[in-house]
Amino acid sequence: MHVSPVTPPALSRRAVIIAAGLGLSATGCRITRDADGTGDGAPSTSSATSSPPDLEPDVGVASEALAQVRGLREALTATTTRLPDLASGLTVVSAMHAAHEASLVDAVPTQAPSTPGTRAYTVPRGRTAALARLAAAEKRLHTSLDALALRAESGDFARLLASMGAGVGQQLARWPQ
Amino acid sequence: MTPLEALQKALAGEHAAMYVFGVLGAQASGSRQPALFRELDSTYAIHRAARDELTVLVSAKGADPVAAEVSYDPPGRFGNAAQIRATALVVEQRLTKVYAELVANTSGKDRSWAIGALDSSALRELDFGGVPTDFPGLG
Repeated sequence: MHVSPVTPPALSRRAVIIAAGLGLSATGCRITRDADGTGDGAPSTSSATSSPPDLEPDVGVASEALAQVRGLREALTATTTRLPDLASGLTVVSAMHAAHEASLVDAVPTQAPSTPGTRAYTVPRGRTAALARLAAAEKRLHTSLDALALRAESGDFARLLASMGAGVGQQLARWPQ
Repeated sequence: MTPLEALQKALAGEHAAMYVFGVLGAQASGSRQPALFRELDSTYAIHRAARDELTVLVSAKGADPVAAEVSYDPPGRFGNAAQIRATALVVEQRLTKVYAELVANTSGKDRSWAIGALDSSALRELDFGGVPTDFPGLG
């Protein structure tokens, strides 16, 4: 019998991002964790009426993700300001972070902390060192997004965060030299 | 979709990927296209390992792992190196979506495994001519 391999799910990115508006949207799908965290839990649904937005556990995850993405954007800006000739090679990376930030910003209440920490990003003098430090920051972001995806209660939001992490991983694989 | 259903779907995807990469590897020449041949060979091994790991994850839930079909229709042509790469890319892109779906429908250790599989699949897309995207596995 012939079978078409691996039928992808019919789900647009926009739909996922909207769904990943966490509990801030009308309804959300969550995974019920087992006590041992093995991941045997079945999805369950919640509604805004039974779970007020300010109690949504993923707001903290979203705030953290947003702060880290913004921090990376600031590092990129600092790098290309100091070394303008790097700007063209980092255009797609910058655009990716902008897209990631846009997907997160609506999920974070304005009063939630979502700005990078006060530690300033220092750009090394040389091109090679600057790219290497930026790549290291991207790797930390990748690791962090994967960890946040694991923490997320909403399955759709976990998918969004993991996809963002995978996007960062792809950019690192094509990192300018 | 339950976590078990999502795992079974990913397993079915890996069964299909193994089949298709077997076909693609058979079409590539180890002497004329050594780089492509090695790439297909190593990717086949990666999918076999993922298939085996998913089998364990499904079995751990007390279920029977879904079996492979007898054959699958490759999602593209494979008459030359460019076609082989393009078809391999389609398989990897589909698996990236399947693994993104697995992330959404699992938690804990299963989700952790799925996140790693999503990362790896997104990178393999680049190996076969894909370009980085903002949201691999979505859309």
